[in-house]
Amino acid sequence: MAKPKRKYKRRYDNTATVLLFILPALIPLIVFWIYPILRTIWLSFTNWDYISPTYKIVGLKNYLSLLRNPRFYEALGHTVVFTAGTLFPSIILGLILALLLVKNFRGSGILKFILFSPWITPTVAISIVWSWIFKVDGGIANTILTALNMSPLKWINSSDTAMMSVIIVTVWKSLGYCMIFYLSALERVPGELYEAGALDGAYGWRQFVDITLPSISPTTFFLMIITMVNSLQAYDQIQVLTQGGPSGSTRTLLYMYYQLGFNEFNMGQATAVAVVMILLTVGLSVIQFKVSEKWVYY
Amino acid sequence: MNTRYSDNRPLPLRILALLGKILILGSASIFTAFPFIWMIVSSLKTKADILNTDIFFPTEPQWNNITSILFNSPIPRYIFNSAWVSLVIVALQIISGAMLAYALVFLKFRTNKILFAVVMATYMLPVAATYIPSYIILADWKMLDSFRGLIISSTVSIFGIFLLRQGFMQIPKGLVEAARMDGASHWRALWEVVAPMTKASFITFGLMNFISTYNNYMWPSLITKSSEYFLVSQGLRAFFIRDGAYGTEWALVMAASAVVVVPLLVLFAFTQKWFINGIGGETGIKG
Amino acid sequence: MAEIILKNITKEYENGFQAVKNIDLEIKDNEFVILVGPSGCGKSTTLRMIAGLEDISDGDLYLDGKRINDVSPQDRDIAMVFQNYALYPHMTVYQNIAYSLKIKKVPKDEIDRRVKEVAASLGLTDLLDRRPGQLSGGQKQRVAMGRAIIRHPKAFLMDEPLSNLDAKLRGQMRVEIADLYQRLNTTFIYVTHDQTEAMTLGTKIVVMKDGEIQQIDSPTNLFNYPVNKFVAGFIGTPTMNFFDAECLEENGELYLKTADGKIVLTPEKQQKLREGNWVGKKVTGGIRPEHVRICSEEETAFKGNVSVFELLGSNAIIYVQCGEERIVINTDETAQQEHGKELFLNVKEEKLHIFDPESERTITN
Repeated sequence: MAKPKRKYKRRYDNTATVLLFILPALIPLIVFWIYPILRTIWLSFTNWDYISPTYKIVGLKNYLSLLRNPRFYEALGHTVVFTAGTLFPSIILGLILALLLVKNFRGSGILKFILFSPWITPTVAISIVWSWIFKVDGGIANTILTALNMSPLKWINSSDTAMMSVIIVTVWKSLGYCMIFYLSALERVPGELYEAGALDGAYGWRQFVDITLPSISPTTFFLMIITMVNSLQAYDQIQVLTQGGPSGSTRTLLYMYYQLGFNEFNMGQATAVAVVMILLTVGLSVIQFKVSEKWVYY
Repeated sequence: MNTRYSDNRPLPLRILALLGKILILGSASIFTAFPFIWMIVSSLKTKADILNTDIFFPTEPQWNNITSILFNSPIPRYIFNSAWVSLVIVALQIISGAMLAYALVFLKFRTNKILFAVVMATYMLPVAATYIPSYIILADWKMLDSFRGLIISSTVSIFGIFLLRQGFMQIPKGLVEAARMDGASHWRALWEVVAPMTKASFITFGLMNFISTYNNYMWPSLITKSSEYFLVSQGLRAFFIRDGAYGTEWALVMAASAVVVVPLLVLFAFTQKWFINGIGGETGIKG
Repeated sequence: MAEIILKNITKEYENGFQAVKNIDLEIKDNEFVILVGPSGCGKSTTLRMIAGLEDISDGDLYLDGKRINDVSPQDRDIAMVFQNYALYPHMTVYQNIAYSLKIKKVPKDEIDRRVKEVAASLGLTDLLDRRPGQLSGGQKQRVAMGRAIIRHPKAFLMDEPLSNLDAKLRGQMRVEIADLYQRLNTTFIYVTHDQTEAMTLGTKIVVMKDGEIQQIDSPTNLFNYPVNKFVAGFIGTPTMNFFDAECLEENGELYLKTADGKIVLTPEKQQKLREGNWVGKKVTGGIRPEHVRICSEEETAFKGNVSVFELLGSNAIIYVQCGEERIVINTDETAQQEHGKELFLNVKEEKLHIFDPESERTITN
């Protein structure tokens, strides 16, 4: 009965319609996303300096010189410190705040508003305010420390404390964002779960560990990836507060990429750093996906 | 909801827990709100007040700090630039994103799944890695240092495509089919049937992307050099470096920041629920 | 007003599954065609191909002589009522009904006139400002029909339109659809798995199974002259009784030997059996419950004991357990039959169906 020759013609949604619907997004996606990524990878094997019209393929030279460059390891280390330093406080504090705010009470709306508001304000504007707060002489941060009988810090002016200062600003900004995600995750934990847990004698801390945490684990997972990607790409606050200094103590990979590419026009090296960042993102995502199979319960 | 914490602990413990809650929430709120408050009170101070760290409130509010920013500085121009560039970009992102999301959900074509995988993969990648080649492209097109360059390089939002796709998937396919049977083209089905039903996703998309484009700093600062094309973040930083001179004109710098930030806070106050629902509820994060 | 022809239509999915296998169907202008069959038989897929919602893998589809395989649904001028109604939740009843006219750029005042006319004919006048969320199932159903009617389409397609309604409402809407068909004088194609709906509504019924058409016929013919055991069993409630038998000859007359006796055959049936060389072979007999009769012990074909007796009012259903098999009787003798009572059964000879036990095709009806 079935004919040997089958004509597969997807005629229902004809190609013209499909193209019409996907091209407005696909063309910019290709031109400003996919092609640049591929081009970045290609450039990382060249010695292009942006000014010269010609360039040579230099193979792995850019990568090898990166691997020999102590600045690169420094930047990598700063990136790790910065990422970990923003990731864990934001997620843990965000969860604690969400737990305290999940039950509505008088004023909880205003608290949510306050806690989330940093996320919608421009990082540049708010970093300027923070740089004023962190000012060594006459900054309010040191005034408060002195009032509390603690010794004042040099904040963004010392390589010992600059990274901490940048992390404080970043956590300040992303805290509310994590909180909002957790709030809606907590609201969606089915009430029956708690009832069933209560029948099994799960209250308080046990209830939290056995029921709440597993139920919101997908959100935790998502936030870890998002915060990580954001941390890898943090630029605004670093540019305003420290420009990677003092003495490179806040120079992350991204900032190094920026300096190599747009200050020194060493495109080969810059794109090599970019490729490292891409690999890092992909690698960390893959690891998180793998690990998440053990502790994320969908 | 009341089953969440069946609290039958003794009274003193409960009071302690309440105090702890107040302490944590209170200090978190103060920590969060303080920079805003400090920015606002500082913006009204005189130079003398600024240097005296013992006084919190301005001795006499210097409203002319604000008025000089509003009428005698480039800040309003930057705000205007940011606002209209963001509006255009978000409008384009909504159109392109809605069409792609519609195609992914309602159109049948062979490469549907591949296309979604590509979009998904780009979502994860660090956008900064695209900046050098994108810069070169805009340079080739003679679009550096122009609004056109800013706009044309941002006409697609991958986040938005995700958000809308998530919303569209909630719509029964039969509704789009009914519209097709009623004689509607896919274009009409998208804007007259699908879009009105996913209004919330569209509003969230619009607001979130408006804010992030409005605030965007790195990419605009790389491609625009003339102050007439500055968006607000870049403009503010230029103002900070030039007039602020790292220290002497803090009151004015704070006033400029306040002029930039306060309208956003007001906008947020009125649209809060779209952010909160959109971020937590409709981005399709299970859990 | 349309004539629809399906020629060698096949629907094959990418995984190789054939939902519809090479079917041919001619639907004449003004017919009420029912596609009926168990779930998964390809009836909905066929309808959706006619609508243009599903692409056709192979074959040709003609509407009024024009091949429309490549015409998109919006340009086919065919209306469809969906199983879940598919009303636009953000539009009022008025806007739902008017939407297709708005798309066609019909002038406002004409839209208004036609919407009101349609609403009046469906009893929706008071509901025009409501939204679908505020309507009951039956009301939604009417709006869905109104949305189809207003366009004066070439054909109406209905995909299980009554399956979401409760039994009482379903009966009522069935009558309304029949009435609608009389008024509109248009081609209807209607998909259902419910054979009662099929029998009461259709002028032509297409019975499908596993993607293939089993039989296309009028309700009466389908009932009286099923082409195979599947159709015989699918059409009619309670279902036809089937039993094993052997075709034997005695004194030049053919008869069926059954479990407990024999069934006499009419001359026509005897002739069919002879022509098909069935003498001495096993066959499958089929008899509808209303054609089973209670008889004396001497002439019995089956004997068994009453297991269930259901009084339905003017008639009664008796389930008789005859050894392994169960025979169902539909009778207007409504006197109570005791559970366990022994009954002797035979059939009304002229109503007997005989099937090939291998191919399940009908030997004689």
